[in-house]
Amino acid sequence: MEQVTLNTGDLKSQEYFINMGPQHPAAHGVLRLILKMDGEVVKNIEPDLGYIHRSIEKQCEYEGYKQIIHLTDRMDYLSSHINNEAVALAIEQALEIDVPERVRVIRTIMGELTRIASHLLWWGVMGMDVGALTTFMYAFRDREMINDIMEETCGARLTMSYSTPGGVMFDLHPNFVKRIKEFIPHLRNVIPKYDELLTGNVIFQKRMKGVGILSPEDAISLGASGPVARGSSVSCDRRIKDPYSAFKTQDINFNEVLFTEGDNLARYNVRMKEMYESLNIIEQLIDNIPDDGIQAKTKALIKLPKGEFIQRVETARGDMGVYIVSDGKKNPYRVKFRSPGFSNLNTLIELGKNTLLGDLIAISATMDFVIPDIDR
Amino acid sequence: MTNNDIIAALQKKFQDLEFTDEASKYMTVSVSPDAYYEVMQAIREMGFDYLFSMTGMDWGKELGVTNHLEDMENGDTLVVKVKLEDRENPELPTLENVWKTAHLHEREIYDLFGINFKGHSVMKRLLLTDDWEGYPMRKDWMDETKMIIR
Repeated sequence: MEQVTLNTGDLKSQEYFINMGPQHPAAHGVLRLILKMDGEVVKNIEPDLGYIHRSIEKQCEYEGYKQIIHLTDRMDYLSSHINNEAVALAIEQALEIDVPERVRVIRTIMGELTRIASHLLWWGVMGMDVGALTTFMYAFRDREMINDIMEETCGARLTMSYSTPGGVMFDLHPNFVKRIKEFIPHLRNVIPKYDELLTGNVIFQKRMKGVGILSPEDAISLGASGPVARGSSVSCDRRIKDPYSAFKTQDINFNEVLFTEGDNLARYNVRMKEMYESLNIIEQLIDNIPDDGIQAKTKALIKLPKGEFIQRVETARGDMGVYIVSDGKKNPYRVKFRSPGFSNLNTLIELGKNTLLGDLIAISATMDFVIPDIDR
Repeated sequence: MTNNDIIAALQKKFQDLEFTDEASKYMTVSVSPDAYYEVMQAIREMGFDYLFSMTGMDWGKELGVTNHLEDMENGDTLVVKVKLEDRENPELPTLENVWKTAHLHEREIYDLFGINFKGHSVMKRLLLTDDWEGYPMRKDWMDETKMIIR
């Protein structure tokens, strides 16, 4: 009988396309990535955005300045308070309003609570993306406590719209300080347990260590910011570089968390450590909330002077900018929201090339995307 | 670097630059479309390594782009504006190979303002569907379905 030998020249590999999303459970929303694959290796990524594009920038051109704040909640809904604050600060900067110190401190405390809530949710879905389903339940339990605090004071759990030009909507709820003081030790107690549960896990470590390495030069060139850039040792925290609110007026001690590895695990560790830093910031402020009112005097109809105004803040995802071009009317001529997620998506496109499909999921999990933030 | 240093360094290499201070905290420099690429490259070499944002603009008569830049080492900031007279076929060179982040930002501007970036690797619509007609962020765009303009 003739022996059949396998001629490897007959076997041809062929590149093919697959769709990741728009409804992929690891996409955290409606993000569609068109992947060009060779076997299990991703060769190229093309994002298809706009599934949740609401043209917020265009809408802003037809709304008054007070109304714009409510639209910004709907961009990065996990950092909604910080988005509100950015617009409020831009308007205050243009009108040269000096807000009461109480407002600055309240905004900063709320901002840090938002950051913790956002990082907790990220930690939950991060675990889920790499196959550890329990993390989601734990993270949501703790996040619920923050949502309750928010609900009491702001009246909303997710889209707060708490900042207004010149102040905040309502004064703090009488329970606020007590609740925060219960929450801080609770979170300090549970994060080490979460570390034990997920961070030290061997399978988890293997998915994270040395995967998706981003060099500092690339991080800057790609426009990465927030924990993504800080995982590659790029110092970019707006709270330190260009302090705003209470970071400017109060003496707050906190560290910018930096890691040098630039891999998945570095980005993961930045967020885990940042939760402690946020707790430190809140702790330094909570006992000395000044009592000088919650609203500076503003006109009922706000008109900005002619000119251009830019305000940048540090959201849970990174460097968020509001750029307002005003021609002196009651609504802006042009508003641009520089969303950190949009530029971080660029980073994923670069990092995802020539990795395995499974690694792409882990990398995108450490980017912490919120799709409405990308689409706007 | 102070603002004056930046002005001196740029004026040594290029004429026709216009420096303004339009009520914003960042210094603004206006360049002509022809010199745009060379000026941006020179600015990159001066140390502005972080292209923070690219904003498409419609000034009524002209279309254009506003770039916000930052030097990550010492925190200097600069705004570069470029205006295009031609509203029918507005074209600019791509900055993709100077700052990688320009890749998506330029696609967004192409999508919403219709400015064509020559040499861009994927000059396709990003947010809107491929068969969308017109450029909705332009001021003369008609909102026939009353989607946004009520």
